[in-house]
Amino acid sequence: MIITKVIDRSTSIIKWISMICLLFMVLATFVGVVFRMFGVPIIGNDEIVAIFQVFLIMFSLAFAQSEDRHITIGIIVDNFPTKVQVMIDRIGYTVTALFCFLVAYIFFKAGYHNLTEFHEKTLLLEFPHYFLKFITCLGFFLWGMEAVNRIIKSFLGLVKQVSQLEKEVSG
Amino acid sequence: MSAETVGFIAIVIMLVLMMLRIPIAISMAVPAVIGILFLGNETVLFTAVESIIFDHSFNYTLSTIPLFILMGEMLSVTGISSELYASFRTWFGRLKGGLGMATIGASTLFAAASGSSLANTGTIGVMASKEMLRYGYSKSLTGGSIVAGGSLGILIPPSTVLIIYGMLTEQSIGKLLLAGIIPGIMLATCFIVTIYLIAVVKPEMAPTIEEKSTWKERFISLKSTIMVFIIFAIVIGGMFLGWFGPTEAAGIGAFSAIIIAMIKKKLTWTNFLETVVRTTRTAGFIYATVLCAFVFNYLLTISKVPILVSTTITSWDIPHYLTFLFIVLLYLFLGAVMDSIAAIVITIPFIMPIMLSMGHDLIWFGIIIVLLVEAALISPPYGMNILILNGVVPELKIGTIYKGALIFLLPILFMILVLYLFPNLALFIPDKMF
Repeated sequence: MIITKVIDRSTSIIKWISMICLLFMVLATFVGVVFRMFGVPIIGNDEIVAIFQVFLIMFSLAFAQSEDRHITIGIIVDNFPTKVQVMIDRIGYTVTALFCFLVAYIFFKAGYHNLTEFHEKTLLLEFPHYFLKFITCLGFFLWGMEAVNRIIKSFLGLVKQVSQLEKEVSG
Repeated sequence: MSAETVGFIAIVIMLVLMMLRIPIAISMAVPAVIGILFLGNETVLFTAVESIIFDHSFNYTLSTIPLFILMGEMLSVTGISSELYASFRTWFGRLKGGLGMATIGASTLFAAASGSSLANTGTIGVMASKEMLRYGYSKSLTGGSIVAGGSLGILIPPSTVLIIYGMLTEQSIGKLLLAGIIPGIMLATCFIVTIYLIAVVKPEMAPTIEEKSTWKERFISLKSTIMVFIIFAIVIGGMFLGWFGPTEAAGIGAFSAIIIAMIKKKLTWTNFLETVVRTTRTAGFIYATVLCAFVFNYLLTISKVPILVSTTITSWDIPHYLTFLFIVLLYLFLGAVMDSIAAIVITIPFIMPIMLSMGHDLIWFGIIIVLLVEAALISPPYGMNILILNGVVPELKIGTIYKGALIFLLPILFMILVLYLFPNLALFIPDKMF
């Protein structure tokens, strides 16, 4: 389906962005320490790392969801029949998507307010808050979309399973 | 409906959602959102969610987590763990239970480079199991030694669990990491003594090896440990001396690990990317859990549930050691049914006020929590270290590893008792921090 392909592609892109941000965090921290030791501290180095971290966090959430790596407790559900497990997982993905879309909406509103009214900025670098809030909005939106993607894929997977079963029965 | 009732209902909903295999993060966030909306209004909810998520995402200290994870992942690909094992094997190999001791020794040193017990178990487990089984060690002792050694990964700094605990309790991350050093070394020693005693009482479980190593070979083998000591000295020593904070230490550690991997010519483009991908993925689920835990904690704060729980427990006027024993049993139970990070983020809001009212130090309690998590990591049915070892060495069955791991719970419980009686063992180094 085209929608799953679009979501997969988006997750792949943000995965690369978050990886690059992680490496920039390492580099920024290291360079910051070295420069400070030579008596030339980089002003706002902490903020640079924190800004990269916002990107890393927001874009790694959807990536972790795409691989079903968010921490879960399967001690009860793992023992249920596969079909029940699939049903429960769909409920879980739906709840995840709803929560993520709500947070995305909250951050869209907050970003918009920052852009049009408050004009908040970071303390040292004066980096606009609205940009980070829109990134947060995007991160949660993509996390929610990835949860939707899992629902679609689960339906597709079940359809395949049933058809396979039907084939076996008819065979 | 009173605020406290809303808080308790939210806790029940959270537990139900968790048991339905819904991600811990979402299980905490959804009842929190409903609860905040119920106690306040839409504006309160929007303001709370926005400020909590934004403030913590834009928190410099939180970046310590992915940087330390990257450091550990990067050192895993350098092959340093197999060199460490070979080195300890030449030193301990001929003693009773020597290969088990070598496993603990290598795990202890690798723990100084990796903040994760799972990485520790997986990395050391593959080579240690091969050697121990080849020389006729029983499968249960082999599995038990590996998972016990692996559990040291979260006690000896750096430790992801301690960083998350520090964030939740607003304690100094640097002090928490330093506090793990003495208990970590003591626990490793206790594990070694346990293996020795097993080898003495049941020699058939740990046959003595006849191969001899010369002193020259032993000293040459030590060169593999130098890299770990250098990284440990820079990262932990730098924090202790006040040269840099925990985040900077983590950044320096990650950068040094990349350089070491390049020097050792183990860093290919493929494994470099795999390492960064694994780190990003791990960071994703840890961040999600931590951020949603903060949202849930906000609901608990406005519902006053933690205060109610702590005042109720303290009003019972039961001896402190009984309350402490109850907390130990609670964590052992929770650790048996859920992930360690989940157990910590859920319980800390309740346990922290109780600990403070009992006059306990939260740095000390962080080490106690980590020891309890270690016990959970090697206990049925959710012992993650055991599942990881079974995953990388399928020859060691889960039941066999559990059987072997049980005996190693004794040293962990012994360490908890020692720290309860002598809290300064954990606080000595942090108190000397510059």
